[in-house]
Amino acid sequence: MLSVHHGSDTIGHVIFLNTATRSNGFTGLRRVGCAVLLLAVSSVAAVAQPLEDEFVPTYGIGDQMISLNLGLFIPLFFSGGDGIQGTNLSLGGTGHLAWSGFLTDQLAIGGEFGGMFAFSPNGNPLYMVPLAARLTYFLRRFPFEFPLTLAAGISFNSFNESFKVDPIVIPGVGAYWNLNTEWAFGIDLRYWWVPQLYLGQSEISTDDTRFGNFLATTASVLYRF
Amino acid sequence: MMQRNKHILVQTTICFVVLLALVVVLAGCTRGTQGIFAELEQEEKIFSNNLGEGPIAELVVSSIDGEDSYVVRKGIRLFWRPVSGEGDLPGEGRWQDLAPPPGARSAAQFLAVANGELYAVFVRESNMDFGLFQREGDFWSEDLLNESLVHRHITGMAVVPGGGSDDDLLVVTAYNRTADSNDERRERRLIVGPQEDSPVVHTFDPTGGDDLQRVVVTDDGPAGAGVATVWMQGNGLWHMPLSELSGAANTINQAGAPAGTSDIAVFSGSTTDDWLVAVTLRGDVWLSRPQDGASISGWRSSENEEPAAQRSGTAFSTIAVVRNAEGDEPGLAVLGTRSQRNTLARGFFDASITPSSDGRPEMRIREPRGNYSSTQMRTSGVERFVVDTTEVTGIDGVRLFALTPNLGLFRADGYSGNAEDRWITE
Repeated sequence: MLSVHHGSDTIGHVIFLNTATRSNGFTGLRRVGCAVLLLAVSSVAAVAQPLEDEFVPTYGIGDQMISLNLGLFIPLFFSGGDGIQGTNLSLGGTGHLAWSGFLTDQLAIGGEFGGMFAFSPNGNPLYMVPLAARLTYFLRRFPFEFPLTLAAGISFNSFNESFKVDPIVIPGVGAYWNLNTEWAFGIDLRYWWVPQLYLGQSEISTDDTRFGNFLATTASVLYRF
Repeated sequence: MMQRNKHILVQTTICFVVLLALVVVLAGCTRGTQGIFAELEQEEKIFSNNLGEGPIAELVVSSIDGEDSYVVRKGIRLFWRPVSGEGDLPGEGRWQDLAPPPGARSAAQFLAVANGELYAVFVRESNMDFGLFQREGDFWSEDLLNESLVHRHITGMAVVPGGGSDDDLLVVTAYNRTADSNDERRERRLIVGPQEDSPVVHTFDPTGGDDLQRVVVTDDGPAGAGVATVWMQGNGLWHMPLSELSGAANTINQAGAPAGTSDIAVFSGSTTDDWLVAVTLRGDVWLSRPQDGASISGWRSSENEEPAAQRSGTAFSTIAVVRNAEGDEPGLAVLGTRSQRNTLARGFFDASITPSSDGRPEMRIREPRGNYSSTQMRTSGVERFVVDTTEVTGIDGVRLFALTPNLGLFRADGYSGNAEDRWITE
């Protein structure tokens, strides 16, 4: 359900999505796939009527959004060893695809899948591929909105011959401009905190436990449906 | 509407449960020998000279154009550079191509240095015969191979050191294409002094010794009770008394060796005799004391004939002794591996060697320290190490070279098996 408010009053202009197809999981997946395709192909060329100032959209259960982010990955530091140490990594690239469903007008819950790469001094790549659940709280001042996000999950990390699955926590903040009730564009600043814990269950010493700290700054395209 | 909301909440809950289960199940998934972030934290830029990647088969130290130089065989081509660069930066001396002698194909087969002279075996251009050439200043000599050997297939070359001016150059021939009989054609021979007018020709018994990967000499023990022996590794372990090497033609006997032996070395402790060390493709390290007799009856580190050290899943390709034990200071060896699927068993390992009270060395294998983990060696393997004792200004200790089968040549100055060790790529 997506409602359009006029000032503080709902004007009753309600758009219902085709609820008959929601009970069909396959069709639902297909809809998400179509949405991704829409994002990738037509985000830049999205043509929609600009919102008139008097319309303020609100969202509720049943409304969903999907976003695509691409940008820079900035390695910050490792902690947990001999104090704070540099990562020795180059500036890298990152991106993620996120889906969320609205619980209320301000709160959305969902998941994300992404990745990053950066290079060591000898050109060896580090890859991290997080899979995380995310909770988003929206601060709004139409036509702008400022989502505060907290994602948590696991990250598949690979470097040289080493591989490890680590927990990951990604708090973030964004600033978006709504082109219309469906499309929004903005930037996100997200902090990746990756505790890499070695508990003595493998050949690797517990002394190798580190906490990775990184920053991702990305441009984002968001589509609501 | 209510039903739809409930449906979404159920789906969301299922997603969270699945994610939580993934966290629990996958959190223990770990591969590698070092923490990823910890490894990154320690990585350093590896200095690279211009030799590049590729298979490095041999490295010797010889005089080229009047300068002490390193000569390497990279594939079938030869390269050289001065031992000392022009400056203090590591590897500043650039590698240059060393052209083959006139009349030889560009494919170099073997390298060796005897009595300070560089020898190389090339295939001659006129036919498929081998030629033995000596570097003389800026040029190669004429083919020096004794006429009686020209139709023989050379499968290895090595040197038995004799104190600098009395070295013996050896080649192994495995096939004589002009021999009359099949038996004679297949006969394997060890030629001592193939460049001499009258080389000494020994015969391997039984037919074996196809090649000559390693030649070491063990002494006759502190009291001279044993027999100084030449040990030859290559398709089996062969031996003959050192005193007979340059004597009359003789038969070379095969010694018992641990199964899968890939290389041998000699280790001597301050209070012990020489020990033969053998590494195997099964991941074992064996010790034997040849002073017990020229013919080895068993390889052992203890009475029950166990390997001195083991690393399961690892194929050891080579061993080199970096330093012998002195007093309480343990000796140090490096063990190369042959690259294989097991990513934890690539690269190389350090081995400390400590003589025990009964004189029997004890070995302990460990991961190398220093910047080793930043190098590509760990993803490959090491076919051979060369320990260079040439004195170089500013370098305390030996230079250790690691010859890899695909990633070129690595070098560590003053290698001592500690955290200060620094590898660069040549």
